[in-house]
Amino acid sequence: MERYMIKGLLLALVMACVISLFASSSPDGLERVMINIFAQGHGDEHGEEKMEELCEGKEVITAPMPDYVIPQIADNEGNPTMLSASLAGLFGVLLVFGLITAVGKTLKKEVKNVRDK
Amino acid sequence: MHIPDGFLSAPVWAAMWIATIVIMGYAVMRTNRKLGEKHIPMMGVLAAFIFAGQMLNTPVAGGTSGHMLGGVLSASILGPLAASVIMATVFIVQAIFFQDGGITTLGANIFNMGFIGTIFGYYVYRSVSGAIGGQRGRYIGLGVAAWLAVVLASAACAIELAASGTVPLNVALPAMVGIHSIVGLIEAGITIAAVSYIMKTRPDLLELEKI
Repeated sequence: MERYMIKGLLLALVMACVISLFASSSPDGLERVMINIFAQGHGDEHGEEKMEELCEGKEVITAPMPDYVIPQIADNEGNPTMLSASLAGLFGVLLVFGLITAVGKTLKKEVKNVRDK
Repeated sequence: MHIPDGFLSAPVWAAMWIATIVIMGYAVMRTNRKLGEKHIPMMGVLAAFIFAGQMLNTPVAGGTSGHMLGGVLSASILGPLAASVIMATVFIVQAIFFQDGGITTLGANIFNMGFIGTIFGYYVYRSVSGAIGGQRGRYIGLGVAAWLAVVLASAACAIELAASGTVPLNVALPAMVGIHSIVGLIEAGITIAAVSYIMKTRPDLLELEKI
């Protein structure tokens, strides 16, 4: 394994497992626009409710780690812990890395295998 | 701007799925047997970095956050088609495992936040950097392309929402473009910083064949 690969992967893990704990949980640009449009002068909360009504029950699948947390790892009140978020990040980074490596190997140039000769 | 299920009408999400499948099919066909041994670790690292980077929402304006996309970054290193494969994989994992973006809307999300950057953004980067030339041209090209990719992605998203009858275009388009012209500055900064870091530490990695 090349050195830069280990360094790059470590950086991604620090980002996904540690720095992500301090990420902003404010609505993103799309959510902000939808909330503002649907609020119609009744405040953010009203806009958010209206926006959520649009998606309610429309989810095609139930993802195992919604919002990048593992719901099963939670405190007494049922809120996901920091560990829950870090593990979800760890899983995601390793999964994406593994998937792309597998896809890359499938799409690779055919190399003559010396042993087959 | 990951679109969840429910925001787009069936004709719109179906059309976006078709566009995405066509581009993805072409990308896979053209990358097949062209990827060299050196492309694969770079693809893995970039995919991991982009996935992690998209988790890091930073505040951009009052009560709004944004995160990087990474399409121009990956395309400038690997070429538009190999980068398209990476971006599509990241969005597929986000939708299936993390409920970040819907399944019906996955085609639209891959197109907007992935292919606009990896394909259109890549050619903007090449044209601008070629026109200016040199190291300065490279960074200006990256910045312009990264900013434009985010802004165009937000415009595409607004048009899809309006075509679905979810929101009026005359309100959604300027609002989306307005916010994302700020998010685009972050994208430009990250793209330039990442490439200049590689340039300083492993410039050979920027010389991979562009696929």
